[in-house]
Amino acid sequence: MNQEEENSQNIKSFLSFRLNKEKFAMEVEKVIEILEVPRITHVPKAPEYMKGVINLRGKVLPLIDTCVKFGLPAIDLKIETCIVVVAIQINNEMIQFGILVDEVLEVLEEDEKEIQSSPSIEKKNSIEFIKGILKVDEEFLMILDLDKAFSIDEVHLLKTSEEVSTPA
Amino acid sequence: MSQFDKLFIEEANEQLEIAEQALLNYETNAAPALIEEAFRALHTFKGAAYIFSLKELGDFAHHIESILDGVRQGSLSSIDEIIGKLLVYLDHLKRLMSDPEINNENERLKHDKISAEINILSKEIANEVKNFEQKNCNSTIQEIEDDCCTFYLSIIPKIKLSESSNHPIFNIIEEITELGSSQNNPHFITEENEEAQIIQHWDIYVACPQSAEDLEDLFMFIDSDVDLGINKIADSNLFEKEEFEPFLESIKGFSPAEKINELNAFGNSIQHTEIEVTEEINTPDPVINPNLKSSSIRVNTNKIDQLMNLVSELVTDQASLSLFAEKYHIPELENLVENMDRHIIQLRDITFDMTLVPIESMMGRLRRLVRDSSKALGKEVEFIVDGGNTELDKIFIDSLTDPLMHILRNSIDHGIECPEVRKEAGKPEKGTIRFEAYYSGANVHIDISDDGKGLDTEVIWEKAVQKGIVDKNRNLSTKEMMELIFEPGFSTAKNITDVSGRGVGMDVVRKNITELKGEIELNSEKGKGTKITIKVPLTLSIIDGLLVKIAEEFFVIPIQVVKKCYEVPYGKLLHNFNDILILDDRQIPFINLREELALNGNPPPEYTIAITVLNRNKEVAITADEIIGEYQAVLKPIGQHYKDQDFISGATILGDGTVALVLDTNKLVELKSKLPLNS
Repeated sequence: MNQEEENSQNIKSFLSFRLNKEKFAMEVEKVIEILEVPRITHVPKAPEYMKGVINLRGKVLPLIDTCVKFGLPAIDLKIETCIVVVAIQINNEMIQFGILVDEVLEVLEEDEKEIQSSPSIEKKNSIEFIKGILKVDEEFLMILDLDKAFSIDEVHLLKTSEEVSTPA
Repeated sequence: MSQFDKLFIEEANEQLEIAEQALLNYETNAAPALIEEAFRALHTFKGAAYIFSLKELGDFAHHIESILDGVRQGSLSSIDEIIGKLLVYLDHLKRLMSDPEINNENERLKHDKISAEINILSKEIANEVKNFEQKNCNSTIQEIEDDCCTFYLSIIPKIKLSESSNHPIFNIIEEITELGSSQNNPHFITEENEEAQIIQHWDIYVACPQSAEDLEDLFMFIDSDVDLGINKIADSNLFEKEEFEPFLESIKGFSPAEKINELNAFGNSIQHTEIEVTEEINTPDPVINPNLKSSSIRVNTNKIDQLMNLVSELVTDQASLSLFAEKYHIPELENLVENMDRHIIQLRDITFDMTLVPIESMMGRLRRLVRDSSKALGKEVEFIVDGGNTELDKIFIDSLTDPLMHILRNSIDHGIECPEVRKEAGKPEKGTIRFEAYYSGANVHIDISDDGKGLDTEVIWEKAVQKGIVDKNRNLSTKEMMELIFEPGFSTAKNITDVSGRGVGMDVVRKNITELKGEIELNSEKGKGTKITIKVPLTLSIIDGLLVKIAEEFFVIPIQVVKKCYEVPYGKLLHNFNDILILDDRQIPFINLREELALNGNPPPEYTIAITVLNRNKEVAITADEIIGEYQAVLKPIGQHYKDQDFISGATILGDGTVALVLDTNKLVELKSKLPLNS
């Protein structure tokens, strides 16, 4: 199937997941693995969305509560709660961390052309982190821009910036 | 053409470093052995350069060698000047290491200029040497011959070699045969058994002052192509013996092994009859085993890091295994775990030891810095180094060099006065900077002290107020005032000199050292001098800690700061308006970690543990619910996301897989007690 569609170019894979009631997606290349939630060690005095650290096979992995980050209520740990381990490049260094999501859904393969830019009217939450909107079977998925959403400088940015601009 | 082996660059840099060190030492202590050392290093450099067809570098090194030769003969008048020049030449070579073919035009121009200069100098010196030699010909020859050794080299190529193949080995052999002749000893014999133009075997006899290792070094770049056997036959020059050459003729047809036996017998007989006196002092190994390589090897630092990481993992795994064994009580398993535990500790210690490097390895740059900057400022400085063999994690060596250089620069520029001023103040004209490194518990201390003018607190105060670093109504102790120099934006230098004040201030020095989990301390007395003490932990990777539990969370406190533990009713911590506990009849301020870190997992216990920790000579108690025990913590970073939580120096993984945070009590106390300076 993959080969057949290669001609129609730019097929990309996305991992979709749920935060609160909304569906999101991220590029599959950034995902390293998906874990069940182990024991989390809380780090005192950290911002609320920094959930703590976990032991990933002997490595210490920082954990981010994506819901708090996007202004939603904190994630309640349930059976379907998952940790998506991702790696992004920050200051020329690959940094791994886990993001807590309410539920991991599926892997989608979609043409890049299907991505629509996000409507700019909705200024409620940090739209800057949304790369675009993907329409799948009458449902809309928001594609996260991981590099923007989880860069370290952004930690400080989040506290200060009120007006959120929308990139094209 | 331009396949410069990384190995070559590394080796070459090392040799240049050795030469530089030797020359710097020679300035203070004119021992001929030091010149020998520099000479050998350059010689190795030259050989390597020729192998890689870097003729210009090789020629340049050759000129330096000739000058050194002149110095060695002790025939030159203005030694100091020449050493200074030599150092400049070495710098030039060092710079060229990043561009060995001299492709950069600027470098090319510089090189041509400097080459012309060295050419003239080396000729002058050669003439001077000649004149000198003619005068006391006999004595010099005698000296040189004294430390000659005779070697038998057996070289069997592993690949097919013909004389026209241009293989570097021909250069090397030529060079070896020249070793003897350059010492007024042209009696060498080279046998080349040729068969259809392909060389099977070389037998080389040479009498030279080099050691077997030096000779072996010459082959380092081609040692995969040849089987090399270097045998020292005698500690003297056998070519001086009349019977030696006929003897060589007689053993011509023997196999290499037989030859070695015969030669040793010959060498020994000569030695026994002629030099019985020296026998006791340095009995040489009669046969240097051809398979014997030098006792140290070069290892990529990445590999060491990997090894260290693996060992750290192993320590963590071992902790899990111990926990598991305890749970099931199987005697065989327990035995096994105990054995493994012992071995892992040994393994850890050895690996840990490998990551340590003596401080001496960075002294080269520091000595040079002191020499150059004191000359540039017209000050006389004696630089005394003590404890150069103190070992530190290699990461520290790299990251400490810059801060140390800065401190030394400051000492010379702002600390040590000009000779005239010193004389007036009744001090010796020559200033002294002392560099001492020593172990203190799990820390290494580095003291840098000078006998200069010391810090002037008034000037510092004025400056700090003027720059808005500190509020002028604040009352600071003398010590606090001095420490203002570590504040960002502070620099007392009135005008920026070439030596210090290059935009890096003491605040950067302190920042660098804190990043290494180290501390910096300042003591100064006006008119008498300044002493700066740097304390850094021996390693960053494994620490001994006290594992404690606070409200369901585990924390590790480095054991080196822990002084004593007390049991205190929790109620005493509450409604305590000045946060002070009376322990052992002393008032000690405390930090209630439960409150401080907002840990409310479960209700506080009736009795809490107060652990007194020592921070910068100040005692503070911190509280925990429960002490679990001592724990060897493998420190892991918790990532940049938590860079604002700097009172946590890292995390460690416990036997059951939980992550425990390692507390930096210094930072914790700072967090709680530090008043902003300008509020």
